[in-house]
Amino acid sequence: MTTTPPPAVEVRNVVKRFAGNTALDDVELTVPAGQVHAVIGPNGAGKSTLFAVIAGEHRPDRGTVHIAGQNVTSMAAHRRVKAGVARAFQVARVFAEMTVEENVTVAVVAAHGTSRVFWSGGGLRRARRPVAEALEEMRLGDLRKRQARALSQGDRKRLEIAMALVLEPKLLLLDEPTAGMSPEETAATVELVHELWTHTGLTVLLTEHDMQVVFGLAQQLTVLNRGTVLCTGDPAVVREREDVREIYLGAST
Amino acid sequence: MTRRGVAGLVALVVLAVVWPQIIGSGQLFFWDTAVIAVLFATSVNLLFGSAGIPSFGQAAFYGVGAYAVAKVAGHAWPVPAALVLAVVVGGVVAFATSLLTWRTAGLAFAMLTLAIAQALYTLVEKVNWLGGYNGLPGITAPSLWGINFFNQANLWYLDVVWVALGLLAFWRIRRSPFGHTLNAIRQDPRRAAFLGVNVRAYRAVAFTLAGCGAGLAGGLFAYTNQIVSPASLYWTESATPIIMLLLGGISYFWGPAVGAILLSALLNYLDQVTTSYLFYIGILLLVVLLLLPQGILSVPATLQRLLHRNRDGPLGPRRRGLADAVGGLGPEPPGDLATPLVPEPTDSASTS
Amino acid sequence: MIILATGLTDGMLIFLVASGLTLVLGVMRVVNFSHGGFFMIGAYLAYELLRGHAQPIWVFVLLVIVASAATAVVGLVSERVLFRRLYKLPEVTSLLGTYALLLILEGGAQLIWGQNPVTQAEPSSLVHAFTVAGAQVPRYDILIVAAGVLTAAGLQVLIKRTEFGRQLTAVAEDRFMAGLLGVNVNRVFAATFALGIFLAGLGGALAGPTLSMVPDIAVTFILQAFAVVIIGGFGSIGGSLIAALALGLLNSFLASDAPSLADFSLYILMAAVLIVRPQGLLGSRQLVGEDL
Repeated sequence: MTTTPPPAVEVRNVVKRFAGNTALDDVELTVPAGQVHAVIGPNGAGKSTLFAVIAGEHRPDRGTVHIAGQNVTSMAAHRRVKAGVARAFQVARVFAEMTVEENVTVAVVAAHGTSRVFWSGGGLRRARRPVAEALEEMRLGDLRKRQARALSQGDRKRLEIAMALVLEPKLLLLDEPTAGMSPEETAATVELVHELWTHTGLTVLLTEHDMQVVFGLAQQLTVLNRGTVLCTGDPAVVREREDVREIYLGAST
Repeated sequence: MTRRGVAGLVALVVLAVVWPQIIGSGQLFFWDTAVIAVLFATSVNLLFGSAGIPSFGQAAFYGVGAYAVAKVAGHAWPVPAALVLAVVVGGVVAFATSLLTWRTAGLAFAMLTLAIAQALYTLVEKVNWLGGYNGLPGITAPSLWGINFFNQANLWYLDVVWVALGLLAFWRIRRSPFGHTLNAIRQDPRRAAFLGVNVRAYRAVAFTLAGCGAGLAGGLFAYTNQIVSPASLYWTESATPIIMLLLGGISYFWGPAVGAILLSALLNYLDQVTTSYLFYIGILLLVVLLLLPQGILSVPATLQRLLHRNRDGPLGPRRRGLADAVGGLGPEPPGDLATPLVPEPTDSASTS
Repeated sequence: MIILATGLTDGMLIFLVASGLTLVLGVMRVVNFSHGGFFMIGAYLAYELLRGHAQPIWVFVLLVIVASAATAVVGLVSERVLFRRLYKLPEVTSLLGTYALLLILEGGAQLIWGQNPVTQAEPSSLVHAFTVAGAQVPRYDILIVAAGVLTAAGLQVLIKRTEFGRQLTAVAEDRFMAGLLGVNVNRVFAATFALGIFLAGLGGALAGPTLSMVPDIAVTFILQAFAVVIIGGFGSIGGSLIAALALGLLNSFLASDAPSLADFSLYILMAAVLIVRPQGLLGSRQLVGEDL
């Protein structure tokens, strides 16, 4: 008997309301391990809220969230990281007063569990190698001494992904990974994420406005509209559906 | 450690050894209190400068440390044991405070710590076992290894050695993964949480460690002043180390130390020439806040940046990185006070 | 009865001071340590105008109002010179800025009036006590309670019923949006601050006859006001009224029945409220400062 690994994410019957508005209404989402999955939908469809519920920023009013088979519904954000979730924000959040290298160091010592060590500097020395490797992988090596506040938006986003990756997540959440990027940066980022995925077999869940990015990366699509799931399926199938064209693609063509 | 760092340390040690001869015993008491203030302010800067925790109640932990030593000095506890007790008591009370304030941050946290510290002040003032309003007099450090601390110079060495130990501890904390993580928490607590950092727990640990340092400083003060009174816990006493660290520079390890020496000296001088030093300290604090938010230690770097602006391009000189900073005596990259110690409330409302 | 009257009077005095503090905090997001300094200035200015003597009640009331207005002018000047710079700084820096102002005010008072206590007499017609249900209640208490009730009602009308109140609420909610919608945020700030400081000055001027005046009242009295702001909920005037009265009454009951606990009434009340409602009685969660 072969056992298939549990899905990387399993969102069941999730309902989330804000001050009377239903942001998510009975949302279901299952992403098998190793898949690149995109959530698309018009503005206000609930993509960000869904991400926030998965990452642990908001607790759902109803329903459950499982990560790699583990029920994380009531876990705080920092504990979900240990359960295997890492995220990048829509507007990249990095530690502005630190250098690129120092930013990644924060993530590495957190992942190593040495961040709680206050009596010795050893954890910082042991972090140097993995930090350098992560920076090379994300092609940030040349910028490692640069202050994060002086980075372009594209570089910040790559830095954020580098920080997420050193956490060795089972699931990487990318909220609009190419928003605010130039076409060149966008192309480079798509290539980078693809490369990452081929190397590590990481599960990636992303939202994106840029349809080229979506169709370039995603193996499966989920379309959200007004807080409910319209459909899930192959990009090629989904893009042909009348209702999807109407609410979403229709607007851009 | 860099060569400059070693030279600086050696100079400090030599200075500490010969200081009683230079100063003479009349002024030594003042310098005792000044180095104790150095430790106190450095401990508070773990909160303000590193973790971005705005506590207004640190005098309480200083005070309980002082009372701990005062109580056991009568039972002839040896000096190291009594001071370790001061560290533990300061830490325990601080930890309890951090549990009471677990979910608050920012201004609410500042006001709650003020209130809790003031409650402790009221308590200490009422308890007869602690001498009530008058406090506990007649504290002396019992002789240790034949060294008698009635001697002013020996008392100075006692203070200096323990202050140095305390500074060493805070130096290591700052250069540790924990210290690095606190820096991250100060800049963006939510981002840190999404890297797997339990922000509230880290803040509580930082608060406890700062309480330990304050407790040690208070314990030394008890031996030096020979009397402790509730006044040490009064809320305005919590503001003094904050003024010191702002004066010296919040983002430098040695900022609070420099600020402590300067402010102590200034207070000592003003006390002799005016009936109201508060007025002048208030003006000084405003000038520092508005014109020199990075403190006195930032002056050389600022001048240098102005002089070399063109050479380094629009981004200014490369700031010192973590790798350079490990084991260096120099300043860390001056953080920018213009970025909030605590993020704006709007920060967390970026959903949907 | 006497306990009730004393508690009510104390509570109203605290409310006068706390209402200005919570107003400034709610609208401007500045914890104003210097509020206690203005309380003290109000007390001393009234003392200067009244010269310490007992005056006819209408003279007393008039000069108390003049003193409060003069205090508000000092406040307005400090808003222009100092606070306008503080809004742009991080919260904690601005907190220290207001602390610096507190030091300057207290130190200035020490330079002008010295450290020796001075006393202000009550208005001549209110010197004596009157008897209610067998208890002696100082007549002066009536004036304080009346001032407190008038202030509470006045603030309610001002905030709920006037154009200025509407603007003030908008700025408190979201100063950026209010600015976009055409509210002159700087003017609202200045007016709010002047109003808050007027109330601090009024509290000080009215408290004058009940205490022995030293510059140090700037730091002692403010603590109760702070506690009331925490208990009542940051920025909530109704909350601070309830909290101030509760504090005054608890104080007064404990003082007569359990004197050893009386000094802790503040902290007992605070602990009791905050355990149940961390945001205070009528406060909103937003200002608790949770940042995760």
